[in-house]
Amino acid sequence: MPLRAFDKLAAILRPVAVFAGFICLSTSGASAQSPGVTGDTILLGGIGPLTGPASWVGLGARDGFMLALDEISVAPIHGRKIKIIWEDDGGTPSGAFAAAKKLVEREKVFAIFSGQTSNGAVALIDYLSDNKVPFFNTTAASDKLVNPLRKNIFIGASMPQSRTGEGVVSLAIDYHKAKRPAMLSPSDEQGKSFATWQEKWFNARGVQVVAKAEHAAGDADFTGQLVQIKASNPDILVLASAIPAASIILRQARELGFTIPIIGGSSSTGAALPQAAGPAAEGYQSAWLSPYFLSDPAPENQEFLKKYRSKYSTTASGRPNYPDYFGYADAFVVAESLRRAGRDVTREKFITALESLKDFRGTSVASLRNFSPENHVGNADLSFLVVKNGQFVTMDFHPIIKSK
Amino acid sequence: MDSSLFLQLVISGLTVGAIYAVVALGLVVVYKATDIVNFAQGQFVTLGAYFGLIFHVFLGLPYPLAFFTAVAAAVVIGLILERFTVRPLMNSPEFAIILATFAVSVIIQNVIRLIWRDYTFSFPPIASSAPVELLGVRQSVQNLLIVGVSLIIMGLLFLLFRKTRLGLAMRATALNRQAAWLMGVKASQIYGTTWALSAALGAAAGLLIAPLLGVRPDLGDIMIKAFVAALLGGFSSLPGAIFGGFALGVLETVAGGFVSNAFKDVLTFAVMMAVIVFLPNGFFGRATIKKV
Repeated sequence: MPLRAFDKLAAILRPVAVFAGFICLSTSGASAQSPGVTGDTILLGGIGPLTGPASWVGLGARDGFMLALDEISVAPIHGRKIKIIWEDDGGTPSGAFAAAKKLVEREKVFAIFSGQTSNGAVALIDYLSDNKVPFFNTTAASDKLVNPLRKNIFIGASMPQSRTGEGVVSLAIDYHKAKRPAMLSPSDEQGKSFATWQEKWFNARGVQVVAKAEHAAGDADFTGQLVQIKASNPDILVLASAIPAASIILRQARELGFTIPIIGGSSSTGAALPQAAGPAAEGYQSAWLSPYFLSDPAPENQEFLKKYRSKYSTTASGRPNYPDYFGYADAFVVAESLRRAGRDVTREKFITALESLKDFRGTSVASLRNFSPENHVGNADLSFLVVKNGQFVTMDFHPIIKSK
Repeated sequence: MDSSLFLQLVISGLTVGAIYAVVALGLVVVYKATDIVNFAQGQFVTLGAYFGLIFHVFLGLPYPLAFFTAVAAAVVIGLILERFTVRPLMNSPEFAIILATFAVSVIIQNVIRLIWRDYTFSFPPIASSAPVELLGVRQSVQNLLIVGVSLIIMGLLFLLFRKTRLGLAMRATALNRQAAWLMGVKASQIYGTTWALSAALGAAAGLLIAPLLGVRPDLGDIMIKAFVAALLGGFSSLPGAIFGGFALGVLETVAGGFVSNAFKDVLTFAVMMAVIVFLPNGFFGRATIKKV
């Protein structure tokens, strides 16, 4: 082609190219300012323990989120679909940090949805705050996430341990009239934080804890701790352990002759506990943070279970568990906030939209969510369940919680 | 802490120790015959538990039948591993074979993770978990049954080695490969049998602990404790492995009860170091004399 003809063609195409570029820029709108946002997609990062002893938390949150995403994707948000990349943190701070760095710096995600344990989530506070990345936690419960309040960090379905701890102490004192409580907790971030708050609330109510013992994550024999605790003659045993450890503790405690009430936090509540502990679980009471429990015959709950089992037909016994419910419920919270943030969504607008949610219930199996610029903890519903005939059922007890 | 509590800890430690002993026996059986430390031994424990889950929980076979079926399945896996990973390397340096067993261990664990993910599956109790009390010591029927079955396994192993031609051939191969071959013992068959036996022991241990701990991919981590138990016994002695298993179980349970849970592992590995330094042949091993 002669050079002159090429110049002529270029002269014609140049304004077209400029116009096309303008169109592209205007349709991708926020992409210049907001990482992870393109014309048709909002890219989120998901983190949780997908392997290891705490994987039931991360896998549950992930599966719940993905189930909700199927429903959310039916009506794209301002023309965009949500995509999410999941990374495994193994339940460790170092794993969490590596996962967050990859998602933020390499994948350029818009926000992080966390189905983590507190152990991993707490490790991300400074990094994600420094990078102004919205960090929405559905399962982690450490108070460090929201105290002091940081603009970018939220807790959805879960509840800070200070509040759950107060509820569990209320159950021990107001329901069981306990005067000599003993505590057994995991030595990780979540366990230590929960145990610290429990002890604070016991002390605040004038009750002295007579024995405290710890166990490592993944421990399978608790005889030593239980014998130590028994020697202090407690009138109630309060656990901060999650389901796998709590179910073994219950069995070993009964084998060792514990006849006192044993109670625990929400991380020990799930269908897997009575299955694994068998008759030793009878009478065990623990906290719960959703309106329905698994066995609840309410049509809304049964509808959720039907959808869940249709998508995940091969999950382990004991699933769905509370992380599945939490991930499912909070996916709608995130989607609604993205919708309220508008077409020109930015991280700041997303955070403002989250803070504007009042009495929001994204799905019928979720508790109400209330956020504000001063309150980044969405869920305030705490109830207790008890194991009866091999299943958790609701308890007629309403804890006294002043910290709300 | 009074004497009944001490006794309680000792009895509880024996349950854990019985499992350690069975897994340690699997390690020792292979080591005696081939001079190889089988790092895949822990995965036989995991495989046994998963096979048990399939046969007992999913397919509904009665526990005793599921037990034998699961052990048989693990034996097949053991034979395959020996034939395709260990035997081709028999003339390679020992560390190459040990690394191969380590690689096999990682592969098995992650294949399990790929199939079953990291879920913990609950396994129904094999006997009543209600406690029985004797002389102030409480123990569940299930735990007593676990100790009982472990003792039966140890007894059967003793009979195999002492009273059968196969056991005699295995002992002969362990003592002197060349001489055994000259007497008509086929070393390759003995190696295969040894791995099959080791897989059976590991799987049996997995089937015994599944009702206590559930079924999960990291069950095989128990091998670390079994390794310490085998070391205590001298690593080449079957009675030594049994002694090491029970001693370790009791030691760590008592340490956990009297001091703290964290101290349990400190003591375990401190004892292991002490044995390596001061008793390199353990409590039951014999010093190797090499003619030069």
